[in-house]
Amino acid sequence: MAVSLVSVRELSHRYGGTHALQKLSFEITESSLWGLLGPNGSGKSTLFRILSTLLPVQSGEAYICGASLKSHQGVARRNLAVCFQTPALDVRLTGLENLKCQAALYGLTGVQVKDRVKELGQRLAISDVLGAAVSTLSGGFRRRIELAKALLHRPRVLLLDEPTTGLDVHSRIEFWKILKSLRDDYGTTVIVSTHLMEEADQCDQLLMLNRGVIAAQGSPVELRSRMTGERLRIRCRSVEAVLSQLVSRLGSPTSQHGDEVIWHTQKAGQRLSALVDSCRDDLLSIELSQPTLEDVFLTLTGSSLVEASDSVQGG
Amino acid sequence: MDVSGGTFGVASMFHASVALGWREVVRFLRQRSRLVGAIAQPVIFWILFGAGLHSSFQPPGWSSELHEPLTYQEYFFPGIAVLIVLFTAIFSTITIIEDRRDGFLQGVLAAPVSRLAIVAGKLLGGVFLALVQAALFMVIGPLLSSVGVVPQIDLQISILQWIPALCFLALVAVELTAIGFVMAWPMNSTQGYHALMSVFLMPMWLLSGAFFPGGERGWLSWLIWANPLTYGVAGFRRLLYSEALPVTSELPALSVCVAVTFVTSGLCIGASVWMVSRPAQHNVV
Repeated sequence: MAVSLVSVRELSHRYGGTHALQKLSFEITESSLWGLLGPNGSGKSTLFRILSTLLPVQSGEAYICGASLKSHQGVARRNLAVCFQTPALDVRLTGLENLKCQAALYGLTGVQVKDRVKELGQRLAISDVLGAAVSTLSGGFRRRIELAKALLHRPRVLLLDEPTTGLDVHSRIEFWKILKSLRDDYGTTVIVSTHLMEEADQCDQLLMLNRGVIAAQGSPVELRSRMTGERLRIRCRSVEAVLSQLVSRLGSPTSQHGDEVIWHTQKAGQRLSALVDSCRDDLLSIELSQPTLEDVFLTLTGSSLVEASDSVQGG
Repeated sequence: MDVSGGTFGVASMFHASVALGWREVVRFLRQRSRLVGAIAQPVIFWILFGAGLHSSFQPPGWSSELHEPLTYQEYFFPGIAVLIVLFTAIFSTITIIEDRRDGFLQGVLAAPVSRLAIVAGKLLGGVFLALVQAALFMVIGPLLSSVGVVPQIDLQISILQWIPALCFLALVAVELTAIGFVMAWPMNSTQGYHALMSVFLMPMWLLSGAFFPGGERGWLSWLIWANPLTYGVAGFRRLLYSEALPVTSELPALSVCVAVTFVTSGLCIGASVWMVSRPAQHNVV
């Protein structure tokens, strides 16, 4: 039976009169890759900050490796590593100096530090840049050094807050390969907050948050299987001109943004040719696909992951 | 549920504090402007104010016990050493705000290191830098006097006076860095800290007997009496002289100076640890 490493029960958090989290409960099992998915204002950053012990537990309970974040923060911190969205690196120091400083904060000394720096340097391909001042390094290398910092004390739980922000596509792919290898090789439980679908798709389990409550929970496959039919995305020159025609053929759309209208409908493929014939001059593009996690979120919450809702302070 | 994980021992705590203090020193050495600002400005003050106020200076009553008449340059000497310590303490603690803004601080706060070690690391770095610069001034000052750049000062500081004087200055550096910590921690902007420095820290130094003698009576003498830094300046001044100087309201006994500086340091360190221990919204980026 899988062991629960992160346990959250009835967790609530408020900023003044605004609820950021409302009675959240979930369990995260070991050696898994979890994604916290939600738009800005969904509460995922607040949850991340509470789990990383930077914000207090106001109401409810939260445990990391069995240690309560109310009473045993020190024990929780020893088992936990955090990679913040803003890298917690001192840019005036070299990568190696940053790692040594971090090692001291976790009670690591001497040969132990040397061995782990060497191992992580090779694993994350940063050995050659550790002697350079962090201010001279690219965003990709900074992220890797930040990750090396987090892994120095071999945490059981690794928390990452939108870790690929600002990285190019290649660096992002490489970063996710590393995260998967941590889960597979070290048995680290990795929890990543993200709003990117392609990243969420790579997680073992997802926790979808919306306005401080859990909208859905499960593997990407399970979540997608909740949607039936297909996803039809149509872009038009003038939506107003053809919308009534499209609605008469396809029913009410699931969402509409600018010149783009999306339907989730059964047997959309069979209706395509008739649709193209009737609106050919007004159509820019038609895309037929399987439902995405974005669609699942949209259907469950009525709001888009991409469209930020900044109504809740602190995310 | 099983609560596992070791404890953070005293040795690990000390190691963490040294690592954080070492970081302060490395950062300082890589910012040359800080080096110039922390020592050059007080030395320039010492030369210029000394030259300007030399003739109008009224020596305090306790100076009648000295072998030679007290010049303003000599009176101002310990005040400048404390100003160097104050500037270093300000520059060291302003980095709390920068560390928070740059994200470094949240990484430290998420670590299992004790909150006392975090405060101690900042104090260690600040005190070390302050002492090195103050010691440098204690060498440069008499040298400038001997080559005639500033008027003659009659301070014959022997090595036996140097050591206790620097030890006491270390205590003053702990006090000022801890005061700076308490002031910087709740602030979100360096501009706000600069404002606080102008209305609190600089007047605190001006009213410590560092710049001018306060006299025996009136509201000014009360402010000087109530100012904890008065005891820092007075204690350091006493340790620079081999003569036993009389005890007056503006030159308290050494035991009182040590006690007040020690208690103020303790209170500010306690307040700093308490503030760092409280998870707060303003610590996250």
